[in-house]
Amino acid sequence: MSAQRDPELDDLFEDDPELRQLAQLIRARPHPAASVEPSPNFHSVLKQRLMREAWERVSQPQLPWYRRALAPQPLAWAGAAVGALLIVFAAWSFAATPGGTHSTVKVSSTLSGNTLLLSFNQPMDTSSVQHAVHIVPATEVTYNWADNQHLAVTALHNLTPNTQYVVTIEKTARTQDGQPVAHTPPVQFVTSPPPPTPTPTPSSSPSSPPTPPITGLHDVAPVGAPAARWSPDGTKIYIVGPSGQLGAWPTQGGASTSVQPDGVSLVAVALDGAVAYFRDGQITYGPVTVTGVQPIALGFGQSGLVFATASDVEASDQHKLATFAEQATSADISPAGDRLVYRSSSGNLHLVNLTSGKDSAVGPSAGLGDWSPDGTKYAYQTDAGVFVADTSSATSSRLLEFPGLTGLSWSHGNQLLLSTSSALSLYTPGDPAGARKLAADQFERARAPSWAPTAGGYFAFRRGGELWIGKVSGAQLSIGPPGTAGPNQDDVVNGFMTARQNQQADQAGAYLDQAGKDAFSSAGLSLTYAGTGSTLRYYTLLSQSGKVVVRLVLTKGNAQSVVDETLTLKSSGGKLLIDGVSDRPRTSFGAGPEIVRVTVAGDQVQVFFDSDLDQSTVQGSVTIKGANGQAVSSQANYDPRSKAVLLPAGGLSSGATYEIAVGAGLRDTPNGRQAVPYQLQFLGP
Amino acid sequence: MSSLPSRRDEQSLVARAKRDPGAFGELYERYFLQIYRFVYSRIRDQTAAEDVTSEVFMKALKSIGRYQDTGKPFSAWLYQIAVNSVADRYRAARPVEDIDDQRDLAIAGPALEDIAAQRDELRQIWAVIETLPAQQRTAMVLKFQEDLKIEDIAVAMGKTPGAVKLLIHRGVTKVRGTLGAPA
Repeated sequence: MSAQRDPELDDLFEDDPELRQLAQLIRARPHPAASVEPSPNFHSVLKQRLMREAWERVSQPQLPWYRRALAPQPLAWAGAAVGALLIVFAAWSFAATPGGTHSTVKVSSTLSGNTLLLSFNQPMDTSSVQHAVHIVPATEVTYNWADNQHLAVTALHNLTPNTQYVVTIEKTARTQDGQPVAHTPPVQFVTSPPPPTPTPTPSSSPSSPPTPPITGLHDVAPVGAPAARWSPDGTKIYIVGPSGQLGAWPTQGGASTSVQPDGVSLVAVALDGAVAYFRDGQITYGPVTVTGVQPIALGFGQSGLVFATASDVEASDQHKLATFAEQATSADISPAGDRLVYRSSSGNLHLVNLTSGKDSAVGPSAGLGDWSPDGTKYAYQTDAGVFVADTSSATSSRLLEFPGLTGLSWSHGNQLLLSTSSALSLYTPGDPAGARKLAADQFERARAPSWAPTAGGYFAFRRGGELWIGKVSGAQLSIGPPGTAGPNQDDVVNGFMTARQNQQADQAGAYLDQAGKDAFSSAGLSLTYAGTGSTLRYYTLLSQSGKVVVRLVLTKGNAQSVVDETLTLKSSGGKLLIDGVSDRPRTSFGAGPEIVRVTVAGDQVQVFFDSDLDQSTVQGSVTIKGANGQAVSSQANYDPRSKAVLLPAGGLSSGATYEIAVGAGLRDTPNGRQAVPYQLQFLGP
Repeated sequence: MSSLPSRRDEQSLVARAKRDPGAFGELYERYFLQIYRFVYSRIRDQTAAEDVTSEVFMKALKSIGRYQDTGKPFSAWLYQIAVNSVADRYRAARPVEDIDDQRDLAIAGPALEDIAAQRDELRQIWAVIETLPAQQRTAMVLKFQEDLKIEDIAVAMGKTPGAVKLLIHRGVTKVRGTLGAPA
């Protein structure tokens, strides 16, 4: 019991000092049960019961039919999700050899989160089994036995995403009656890639930029419930007034143009500037009209107008493009009109592919949000902050913890405008300072922020019953000059690599300019690996201004071959394309701890590994070297939770070439394997 | 009271425990003794307290998938299960009577430690608290023994914070009425 006074008790007995004193006195007296102990074995027996029950619950999940249908076969590749529940099963058996008589020990395994559950068909010698479990990449684990047949092996830290794990029970394992086991095929599984999020934009300055000033803030017009929509060039904004009057207002002020006098409840603007709206039970888009529908969102696909109702998505001829799995209350159609998100009546966010009609539930949301400019991601509100859904995997991850979020908008320059009841804030993904409040009294009670598409930092928001427009000076609103890094660079590389994974050479080729095509050709590199029987996974080791280093892991059976490709990117005609490649095989891959990602931002370089590292070997084994090969930073700290070595980068020159050097002195734990030396060039922050 | 883990750590652990038996095992280790002692303080019988403690953690395991973080400590949820399980135990024994009218069920007389407490003037306080109606006693134990916040007690007991304040106020007033004002 705390010796400090309890303010709640002081408040409760505020009017009676005698009771207040007595209450604090009671608080200071130990209850007779305060030191009572249960019977000696109760704690451990109950824990065993609980662990067995927990094990059974996790290993017998109520999977939906499509998950059961897609479940891997025993001993096949198993997939695991990091941060999301995905159960897989594997089973194997091995012979126990008690003096010539053979009995078979069968083992089945289930992976759940960071825990591998092993179930033996006969009692085992728990100590020998624990000592016999061997995991590659090296992973520190805890062991929990429900009984001597059920073992939960739990990683101390998150498994590394996008990584193949091999778990072996070595021959030293014994059954409870001491029989050795003869052979144990390993369990293999590959963890899923992390859900893509907007990549941190490399900063040209190690210090955080100041809060950008706001200019041109002005009250435009009264606004009704429907969302205002920008013209494609950002020079006009279409506002639906309180009576449904639809007008177009110049961004920089001036007289409005009336489009409809009243009754409009939805509006959308096509890429050619044509306006579609819903009025008097009819959707109107130029000469096209659709009647007898109740749309909740309008948009434009390749074949023209599309609209969403509470139950489906339809084209202007009312041909159904997709049917919703849940009743929709609000929806948002992607800029290209090929995807849609909706929020269901139960509060779930769903992602719908309008080409295939597939409806994927993403997770709970507090509201809709905004599409990334390329339409591959969707940022949305949850109670915990901003989440980003990836359209290819229909998975999401938290981008920013931001309580009280009421609205957001995603700019072409990869900046998010966020509203709460008290402020508007600007967030650049990767900015260690987090979201920056924009300073203006008018931002109190601002909501529904909306970036203008291309018009130099203009944005709109609602406040009270009015629509306001302002301008953020210095906002990142374009892709940037040639060689500029940013999310578009990663989007290009991800699109390129995804096409290669899918054996779509033509689509992959579309990400290359002529120089890029020539570079691939002259280096003898294949865009795809069709016919090799291999599967390809990849991860980005480093992404910096105009350069991305990608590691390709080709797997066939138990064999892996690994190559690092350095892709250079260049903007051509306003489009970012890959214009060069060099490759470097990594023949020793997997022999020791491997780098999986390097980030260079602000005053720190972070080097992430696939294995848990022996902290005592980090210092001096992971260093930054200058162009002359001399170590410029040997000070290294290790964060075991993220398996990252942190190196100070404050003294590095911006734009100069450096090298991350991993030496053989680095060892993983608990396996104790040495790293195979590796170097990776990067530019100073 | 042992030091509590940070909210963030606890949130993370609870989230993991929904799919990871090992993480649930960690939660069990953190809260086992706390819950056992609370249950024991209400039931006053070792065997019955162990039965109820088992029920509490089994129910927690079965329900953790539906647990939603409302900003309250995870322990408040466990105490809620414990309070209900204790109440169920009483109801099973005396289905007709109101729980507020019930006294110690498991044993007829005061527990051995309470007999010892009679010799200790200060510990008489708890002996008096044990005579309070069940709801008052639960609120008092959660506040004074378990050191919970009133809002968390409200969660555990399924009452409003105002009702919990009233129960505690009445309980302390009753203690004063029985033992007199503190010296």
